[in-house]
Amino acid sequence: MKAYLKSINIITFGPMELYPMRKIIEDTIAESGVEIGSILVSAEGATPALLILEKGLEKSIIKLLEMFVPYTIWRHGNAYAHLISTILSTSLIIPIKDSKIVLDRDYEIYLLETRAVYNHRRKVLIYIHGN
Amino acid sequence: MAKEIRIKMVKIVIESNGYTAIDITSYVNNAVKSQGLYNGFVHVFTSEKKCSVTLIEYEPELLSDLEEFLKKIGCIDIGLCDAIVGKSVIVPIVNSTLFLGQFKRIVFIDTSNVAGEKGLVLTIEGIFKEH
Repeated sequence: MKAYLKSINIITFGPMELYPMRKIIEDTIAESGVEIGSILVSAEGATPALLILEKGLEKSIIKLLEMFVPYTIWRHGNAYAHLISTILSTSLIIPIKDSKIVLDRDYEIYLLETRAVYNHRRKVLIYIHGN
Repeated sequence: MAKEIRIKMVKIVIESNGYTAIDITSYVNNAVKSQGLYNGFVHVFTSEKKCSVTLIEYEPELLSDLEEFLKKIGCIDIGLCDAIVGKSVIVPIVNSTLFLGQFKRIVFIDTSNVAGEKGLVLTIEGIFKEH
């Protein structure tokens, strides 16, 4: 079994904007040469989130999160961003089979920028293992 | 850059007062360093009842906000917070360093109200330094 590691920078604009990552993830799997295994994707920091989402439901998930975790009722300054990050998670693992992620074409993998930022650099780490 | 990977497992025991959030980042960091993992990931898991492992900034007001959030959704009283927050996290390791960012910490959350020793299982996978 082999391992392949790659670091990627994504420039984000927030708050509550989704950045598609599926293409980057698929390209990285192709580079790795892994045919069967799994891919770990992890976002640096305590406020972003990674999520697998059915295409077309982008606005609905943001609305749901804003209802579930309001912006302003908390003690800590940007607590809403931290709580969303903690609940949704900053990492995912997806299986790889036949050199492709096992994920329907109707799904996208998103990085969620929760903070009100402009031109913000987000580091995402990809670790692939398999044969 | 594909190299052979190996897996090691480490058990950690921490002391809990039964209702608390404990920053366990340094325990995990020490385990990863002492095992000699260079590139890969660590899976931090607890099988303890009503206990969770999560990623969040370890700041008192934010932890109060998380407690408030868990109270609001009603999981503390019925002992279901570990199902919401999760029993484990996965953190990549790059050049023997945990890939977290400036503020993100690995935090053990206990809502059991049972004081005592609590166990954590660390599965460390990747490219290890040669001894």
